[in-house]
Amino acid sequence: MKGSFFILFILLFFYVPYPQQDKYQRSRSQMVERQIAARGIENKATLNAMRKVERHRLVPKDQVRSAYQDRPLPIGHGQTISQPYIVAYMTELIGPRPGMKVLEIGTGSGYQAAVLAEIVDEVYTIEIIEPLGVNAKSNLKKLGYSNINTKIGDGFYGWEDHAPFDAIVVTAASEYIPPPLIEQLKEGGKMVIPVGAPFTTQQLMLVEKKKDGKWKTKNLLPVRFVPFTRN
Amino acid sequence: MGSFSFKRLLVSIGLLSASMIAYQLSLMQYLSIIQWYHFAYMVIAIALLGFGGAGTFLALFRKRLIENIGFLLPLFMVLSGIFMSLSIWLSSQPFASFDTYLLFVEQKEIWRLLLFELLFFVPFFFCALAIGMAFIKYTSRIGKLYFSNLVGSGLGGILAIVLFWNALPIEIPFITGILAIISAGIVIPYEKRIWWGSSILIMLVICFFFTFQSPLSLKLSQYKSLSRTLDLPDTEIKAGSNSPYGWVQYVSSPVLRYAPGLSLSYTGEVPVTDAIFNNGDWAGAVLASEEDSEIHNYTTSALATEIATPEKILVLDAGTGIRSLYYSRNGGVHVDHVEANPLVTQFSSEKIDPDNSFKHYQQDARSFLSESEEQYDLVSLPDIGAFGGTAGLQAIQEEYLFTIDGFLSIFDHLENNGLISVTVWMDYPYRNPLKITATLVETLVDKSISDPSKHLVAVRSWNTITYLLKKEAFTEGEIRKVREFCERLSFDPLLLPDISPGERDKYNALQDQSLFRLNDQLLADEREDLYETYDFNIKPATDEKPYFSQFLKWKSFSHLQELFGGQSASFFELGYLIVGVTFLQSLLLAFILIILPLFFLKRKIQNMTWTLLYFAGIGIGFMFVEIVLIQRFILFLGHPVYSVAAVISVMLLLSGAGSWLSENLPKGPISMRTILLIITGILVLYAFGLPWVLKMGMGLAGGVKMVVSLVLIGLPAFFMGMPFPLGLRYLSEKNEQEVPWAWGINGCLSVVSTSLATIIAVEAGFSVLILLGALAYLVTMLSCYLKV
Repeated sequence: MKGSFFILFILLFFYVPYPQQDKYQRSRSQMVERQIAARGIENKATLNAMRKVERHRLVPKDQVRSAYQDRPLPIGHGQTISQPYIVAYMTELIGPRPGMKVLEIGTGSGYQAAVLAEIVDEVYTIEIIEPLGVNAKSNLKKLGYSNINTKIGDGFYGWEDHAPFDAIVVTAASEYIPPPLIEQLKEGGKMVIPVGAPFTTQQLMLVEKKKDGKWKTKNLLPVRFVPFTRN
Repeated sequence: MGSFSFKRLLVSIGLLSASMIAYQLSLMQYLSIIQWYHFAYMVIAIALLGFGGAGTFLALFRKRLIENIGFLLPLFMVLSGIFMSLSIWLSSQPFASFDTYLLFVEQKEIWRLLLFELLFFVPFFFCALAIGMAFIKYTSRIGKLYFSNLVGSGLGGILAIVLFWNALPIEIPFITGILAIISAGIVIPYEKRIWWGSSILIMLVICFFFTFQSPLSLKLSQYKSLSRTLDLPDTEIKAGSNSPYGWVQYVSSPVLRYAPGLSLSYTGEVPVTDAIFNNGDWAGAVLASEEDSEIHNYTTSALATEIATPEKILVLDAGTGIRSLYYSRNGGVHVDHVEANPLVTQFSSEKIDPDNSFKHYQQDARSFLSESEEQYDLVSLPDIGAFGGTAGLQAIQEEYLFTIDGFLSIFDHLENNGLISVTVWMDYPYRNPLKITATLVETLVDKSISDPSKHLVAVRSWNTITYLLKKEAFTEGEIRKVREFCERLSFDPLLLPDISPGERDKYNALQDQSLFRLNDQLLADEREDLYETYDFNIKPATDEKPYFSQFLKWKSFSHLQELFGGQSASFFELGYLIVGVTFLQSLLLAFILIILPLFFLKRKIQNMTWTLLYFAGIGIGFMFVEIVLIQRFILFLGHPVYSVAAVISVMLLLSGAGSWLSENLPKGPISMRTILLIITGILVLYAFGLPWVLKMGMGLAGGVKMVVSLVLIGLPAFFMGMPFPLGLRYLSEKNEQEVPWAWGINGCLSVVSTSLATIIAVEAGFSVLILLGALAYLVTMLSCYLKV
């Protein structure tokens, strides 16, 4: 009798949380297929990373149910966690691969850092708003990311001790690009900056530092505006 | 009934009305600070439905209320006073905390919004109950009561201006609450004067204490610029002050920097700045030293000083003075700094202009232009838009400086080789850059310049575009300098007289060529086609429709939703969408408040069509005219604050006078028809003549302008104060039961027409709006032919 209860207990223990976990796994797969791959993201490493990172564990509790929806979500302090597609698009833009060292300005929820950490060797991320930085650090630690280095501070100066970087992602963009960040970008490296008011990323700015030290910016559009043609 | 004299009642109603209007205006400011202007607009519109709700309540419980007027009248006044501050306190509690910015993001915000509106409905409801009861009880003397109500309201507008200068936004609700409680004290019943007197005294002491130790706080939306800045480490508010121009705060931060569109070629330090915020919105950076302005040499804004050496410079809407300082250090011998907000100047001038190197004008830009006879080498305008877009929060803000009429006025102040310089933030889909190109081109066309492309230059960084308009054609030397400037700082020319396709995206590539193509279309003769076919409204603003930042075309909204998704599309034009939602919401509530009571009063109502047409007509007409006059006088008096204060106060005071004198008019439809016909005639005249009269008078001295305003606002207002008391008196003779219903209709329609008027003004312009106001009075006049 006791043995039966024990077996039942064990079964319940493993069975009950399983559908929940499975639900999120399924949500992530659907998110990747319907929101990301369907919109033309082809980089396999990016798609795999998006399938792996548990976005629902990086958003505020009241947003968990919406974690895999096709939209940005509020995370407090006037900041947002980007729409999954935008995260994937920015990741693909920098051409991530093992061996790379990436700097992120604006940790926010930590989601972008986690996606990058699934692909590259080292991620350095800086957040200026202390409560966000502390929360992201704790969540990323719980998720087991040992290759993400977090810092609370002013992203203007980059992270000189670990420079140069293969790529820089400026998720907390300002109306100018800090000169130290340009300096800390390797020649041939890429910097990507989403531009738009909260909930409205409409442009992505790609800065490419050429081999000769010169650079060029390119404005990329996650959603192309095609005006109606009316007679 | 209670034992108080009619004279005391008049004073009491006047004081209550004054407190309510002052409260309403202060609530507008409070809500504009914690959220945005549009949101304030929405809440006030719904809260004003308290008047409609009170009308319904009175219609349903008329007999019982009037029987107990002695007790209920002061009680409702006291409750109104208490809820003026209590509603604000409750609305800031976590269970009611609402954020406009999330309205189109989170569904739960809709319920929170309803709760928010309900809370602000309460003080208006009690105030309206008190006034409505008095109206019903003394219908035979409605002219004097309405006079007291209107004059009190007019004085309330002036009181609000005084309070804005002398009290903080969190103190004002207690002051207006004190006035409402005093108004109750004036009409307490004699037989219970000790109980009432001591209760009111205690409440006054409590309110007085809270005025100086306010338990209220300003919890700003997390998406307001000030909130986001205060999240930065070691950032603090150093000083703050209130005025009718807004609540201005000076913020100091060790990590705040300002260098819009800085060239990537710049390798130096970006200086740390302080900043000023007005009602929680960014008003400008304050540089720590004069040398810090030199960083602007590395932005597109330096274009004018790069290709010319302007000595006499006019800086309009100069804000915190960064542009003035920059020009005075870069060749400007004579710099005129024009800024309307005195607190912005006060907080920034110590740092920005300690030795008074430029000449300050505390004036609105258009007023300055109309009064000044100076000619300038360079006129600098404030930046348009914001980094990453503005989410459409400026949409219904009238911007007279950026209308074609505004640019024509600036053009007239240019020397022959003079320049206009304006910088625009890039946005996507393209709106601001296209509208400014269109505006500059049309300005030149209006000045009979056959080839505008020879007078326009624009240079683009990765996120800003600086435009130059020159009175004469650009010379070859100047064009060469533009190219050198671009080459040195890695910018790209967008407009240049002899531009070649390849040079437009040498350093800053765009995903496609549509920005170039659209600009070229605007320069060619295809402008009108583009205005029509483009999904956003990029037709230049005019003084008739001065909404530069309004880009939404309702018919294109579904297309934008398809492309960008419903949530994201909403953030293109949040402001105008909120006005649309306000209109629909108030229409629904007005329907419930007007139609619903009919089911309860069915047996008693005999003159439904007349009552509905008459009181709806004068409600709509009055609001349409008031809104047109406010908008027209913004330009004439130089600032929205002066215009709102002058129009509201003069309209209410003169309407009050008209109402008082209406008691001398014979009762019956003939008087009503005559007055309504006079009003219609005046409004038709105003539709065609007022813009011309105001334009002619723009250059007049301040005192003369005030007299002109008094006459022009007062004339229609005097007559517009008569139909309401005349109609109410007439109705009370026919069927007294319908009086509260009629009053409710008038209140509700006044509210609905507030947001409707804004939509009509944006879509069709002020002249159409005032003609529709005239039409409303004409329909009202025709309704008097109905058999009652």
